[in-house]
Amino acid sequence: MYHNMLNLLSILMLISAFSLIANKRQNSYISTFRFQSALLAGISLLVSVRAMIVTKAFDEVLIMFMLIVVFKVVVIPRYMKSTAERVEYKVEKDFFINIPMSMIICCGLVVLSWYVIYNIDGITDLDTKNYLIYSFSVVLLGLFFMISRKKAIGQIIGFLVIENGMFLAAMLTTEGMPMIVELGLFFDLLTAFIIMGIFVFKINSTFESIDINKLKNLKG
Amino acid sequence: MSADYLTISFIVCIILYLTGAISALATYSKPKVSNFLSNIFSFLAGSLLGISVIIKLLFLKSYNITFDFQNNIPFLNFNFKIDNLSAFFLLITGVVSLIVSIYSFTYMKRFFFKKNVGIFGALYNLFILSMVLLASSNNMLLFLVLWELMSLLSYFLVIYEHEKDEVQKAGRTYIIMTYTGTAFITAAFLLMAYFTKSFELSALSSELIPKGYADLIYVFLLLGFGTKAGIIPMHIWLPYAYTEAPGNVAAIMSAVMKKLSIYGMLRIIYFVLPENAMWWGVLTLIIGTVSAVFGIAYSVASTINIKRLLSYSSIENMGIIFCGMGVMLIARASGNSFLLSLALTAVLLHTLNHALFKSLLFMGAGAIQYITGTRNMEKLGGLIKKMPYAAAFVFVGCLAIAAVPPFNGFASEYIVFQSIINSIVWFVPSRQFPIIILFVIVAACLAITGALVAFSYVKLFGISFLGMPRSPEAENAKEPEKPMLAAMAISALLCMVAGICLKSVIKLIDNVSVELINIKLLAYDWSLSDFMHYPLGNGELSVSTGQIAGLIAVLALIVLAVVLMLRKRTTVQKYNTWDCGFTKLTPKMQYSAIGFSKSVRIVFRGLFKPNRDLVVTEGSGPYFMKKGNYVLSTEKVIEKYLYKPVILAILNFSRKTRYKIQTGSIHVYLMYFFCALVLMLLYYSFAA
Amino acid sequence: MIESILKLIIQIMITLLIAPLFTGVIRKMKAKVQHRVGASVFQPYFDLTKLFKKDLVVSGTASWIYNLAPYVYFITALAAMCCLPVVYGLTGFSFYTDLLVVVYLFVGGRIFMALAALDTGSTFGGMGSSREMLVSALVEPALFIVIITISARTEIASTNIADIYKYMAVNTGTAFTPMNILLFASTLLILIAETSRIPVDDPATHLELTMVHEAMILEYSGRHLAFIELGTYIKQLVFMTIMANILIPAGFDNSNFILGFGIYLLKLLVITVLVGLVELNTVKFRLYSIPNFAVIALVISILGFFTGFILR
Repeated sequence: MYHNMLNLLSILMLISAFSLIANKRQNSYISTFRFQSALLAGISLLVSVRAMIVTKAFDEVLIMFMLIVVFKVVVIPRYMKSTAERVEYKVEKDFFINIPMSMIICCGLVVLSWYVIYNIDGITDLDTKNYLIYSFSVVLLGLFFMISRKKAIGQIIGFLVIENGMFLAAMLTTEGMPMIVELGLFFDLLTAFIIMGIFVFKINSTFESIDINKLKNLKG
Repeated sequence: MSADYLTISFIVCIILYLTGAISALATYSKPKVSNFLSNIFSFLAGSLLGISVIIKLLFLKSYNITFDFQNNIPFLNFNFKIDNLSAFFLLITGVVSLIVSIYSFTYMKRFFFKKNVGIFGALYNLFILSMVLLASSNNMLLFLVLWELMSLLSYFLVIYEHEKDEVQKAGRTYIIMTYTGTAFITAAFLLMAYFTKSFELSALSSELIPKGYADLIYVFLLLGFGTKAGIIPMHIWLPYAYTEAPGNVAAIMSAVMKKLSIYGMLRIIYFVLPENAMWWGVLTLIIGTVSAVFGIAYSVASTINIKRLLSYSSIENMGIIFCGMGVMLIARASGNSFLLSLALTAVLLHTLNHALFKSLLFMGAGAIQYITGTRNMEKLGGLIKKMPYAAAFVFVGCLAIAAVPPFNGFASEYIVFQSIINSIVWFVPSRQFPIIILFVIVAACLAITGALVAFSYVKLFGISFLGMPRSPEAENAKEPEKPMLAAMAISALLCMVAGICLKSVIKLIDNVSVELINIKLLAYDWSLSDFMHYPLGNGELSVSTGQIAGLIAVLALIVLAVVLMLRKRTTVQKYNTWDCGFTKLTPKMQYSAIGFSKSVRIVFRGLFKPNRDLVVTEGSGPYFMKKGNYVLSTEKVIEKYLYKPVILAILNFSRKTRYKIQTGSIHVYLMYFFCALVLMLLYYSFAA
Repeated sequence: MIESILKLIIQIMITLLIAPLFTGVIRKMKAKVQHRVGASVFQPYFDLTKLFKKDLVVSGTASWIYNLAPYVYFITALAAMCCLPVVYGLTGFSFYTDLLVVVYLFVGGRIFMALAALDTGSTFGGMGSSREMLVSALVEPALFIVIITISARTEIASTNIADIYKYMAVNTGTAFTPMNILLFASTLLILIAETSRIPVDDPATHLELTMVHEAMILEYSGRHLAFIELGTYIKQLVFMTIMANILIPAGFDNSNFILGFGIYLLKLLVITVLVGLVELNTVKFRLYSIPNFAVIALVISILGFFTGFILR
């Protein structure tokens, strides 16, 4: 039952990554990311509660759960929304690859990650294998999302999705990494996020657009 | 009936066809007589052939009709043998040719006193005869000779209206492609004969063929027979040839001639190459799927010509048959006999069903051309009121090809899907994932193919038969003559019967299956009580088209009762179609065939690369145009990216080498002879 | 024999009785969210009875196809519904039929409707039928993958509903597997596309830019329209039944008929609410965004297959 739930939640995370790829509105990027983070929070809650029931002691993953809820579900999306409101673009119009095609490519990416992880001999536990496949696919999809979107908001979301995927992998395969590693990761992310947020404003004010394709103009 | 009668009736058949050819030629100055004679003989021969092979298939399953004409030509024996496989394809030939002959009685009136009908009659009879003999020949060289004969005769029939430029062009493409295909078949046959030291088709000692060469032979066969079958990318001749051929010829070519390439494939797969590698099946499956999707996509999106729509849809249907063949080969390689029987049923059933409904549809298209003189859908419309019977028959054909239960198209498409589902489940426990993923992709592609078939035939029927007439020709249309209607009626009836009485059709295929793979398809014997059920393979009840038809009929009766009750209390008023309160609707305001398929062109623009061009002659202002000329073109991607480069490369190569090899000096030519001779002598002396 | 006929009749009665209800529920739900009182939940029933009594206006250009199409559409939908198991023990017509038959029956009904729309010679009709055929073609792959997964789930590769029924009867306990839920989600999207609900089509609009299904049936009136509406309701019920019973067979093995029927209704209501939520939270897509929608359904169904049969 526990693994069934985890399986389901991580599949839903994968699907939210897919729906991110299918989206083209910046607001829905943000709400999809929020949904995905909520799923991640759910997973961490599940993991921590189980660990607490088994060990009958406080589990550090619970702190992670709170951090995820506070930052990834509430703060970051809100900050992103206010950023998105200030730039002129609401809808992404031109893509390098059109949406149906990129969905199919993403399907291929899932198959690829399945194929890679399936052939790793060291992992014997089937559930762990599945979690790795899902989280690895989320990372790949996030990367693909960053490639396929031209606007800076998309880049940030893609980056955050990659981070979500790595978090998922870390949490489900190790049942919680050492606290200090996770905290370090988290603050890395936050700093990166704030820097990027500032960059968006700068790009917007310099080029009157957040199309990162225009950064090409910077080269000498 | 003793078996000897079958041999006699077969010989009588041949004589009838020959008599038809000769008598048509002899009376060519009187077109009516000539046409009547040629068709009555082919009709008689066709019905005789049909009856005798049905008897053979049902009652004389283990008896093979054989006969041998002695001659002194080395290797080439006039050796004929009709086993169950041949008989099945002869059944298709016989039934379709007999129906088309009825149709031709009046269809050929188009050409009276304009063209030489006598020659047409002779060619027509000989063409059918060549196909009959081809399906029963038991000698590779004889097969090749007849294959060539069939191709040549069909070429002459295609270019029957040779004074038109586009006909010439279509014929040229056809003959070039068909010769390319034959070259591959010849190469494959020579390889087989080289290793087995025999030209017999049925009794080859196949273990003599080395593994690598068997692969090569299969690829050659796929290319050769695939060209005739018109699968992508060897299809380029097909849409033109079928469009330009007269309606009855197109019907026979699409319904019978194409199927003979399936016959050739099956014959060689089962009698010469009893073992195959997995990748043969995978390759065939992929080619089949690509043909199905591309064929139907072109049929929907880039046609306004009825016959061209039908020919692209032929490509799609051959694609489905090749998919079945791919599953069959995969099943054989992996040793799943149930799947093998299922896929073989799919192949044979779809072959038969496609012959039935495609000949019906081509006859319908021919009837439209016969009455209105045009094949362009944009000039038709409203024909359902002018030619109600013909419209109803074509409608049945459309429903059958769109796989609506309980018509026959549903049965075969259903079994194709079943074979794919079964292969997925078969490969799951052994965890052969690449092939599972392939099958899932194929299933998705076939699903979208099925839906686009419906789209395509809604376009065909809706634009050309419904709505208001778009031209005076359509306005003045009338019902075609009775023989044409009768032929179409028989076809439509067969489509319906073959769908509902699926089990008796399976019964016909059963003996072919026993002969090829030694598996009985039907779990228990045929009797009236389980007439409608359709048990497959291991005795599980799966689907019964008869029951569904029964259910639909009962529900229809209930609805009819309700409607009759309601009708008493309500009135029906005839009024104009809603025109938004402006002026009355005109035919020009209707949706056109191009407009109807625009959505598909846009969604699949990667396949078509549509180009739009609007040239406007302005009137008194920008909003009052005098004349607008709208040109829409779609690109033939395969021609452009596959054939063009090859053709250019060949042209370049020949241009360059022309001056090096073709010097014009006779001495150099003699030198070539000399060198070739010396090299050959050297080769033989060292090889031996 | 007589028993099965009786069961079939009961199933048809149930179908006709409950099919319009869910549309009413969705409308009511939307009205509540928009702070309107909204029509009664039973409004579709009132509409239907009124339409059955009304006189007909038939286009002068139309032929017999136009007059036949509503009945064919209705009959194919009803026949499809007859194939499906509704409550434990009440299997209708399932034993000789098949999920693929259900799909192809819909194809038949759709062809008739599309042709009828072209039959009147109106531009709206042509537009509607072209779009409807496109939408159905786009979601067809997802639907087939769902069917393949369902049949692979029975482990004997059967699409026969009797076999699926056997699987359902023993697997009610383990209904909420990831595979089933993914298939459920995919079928929800297919349902939305096939029954012309909001992100794909707007059933409440009469604007030529947005109409799909409505454009096709624009010319119909009286009992023709009533049969078409009823057919659409039944089609919706077919997809809901596939989702509620076949995909998530939880609580299905209840031999108490009343209780089983109650669970069935409850599940249908949950699905209705889901459809309503999707409607409330989205706006209608442009026609050329529908491929994106269809591809999402396809991807989810493929993932469902993947989790069920490859990630094991």
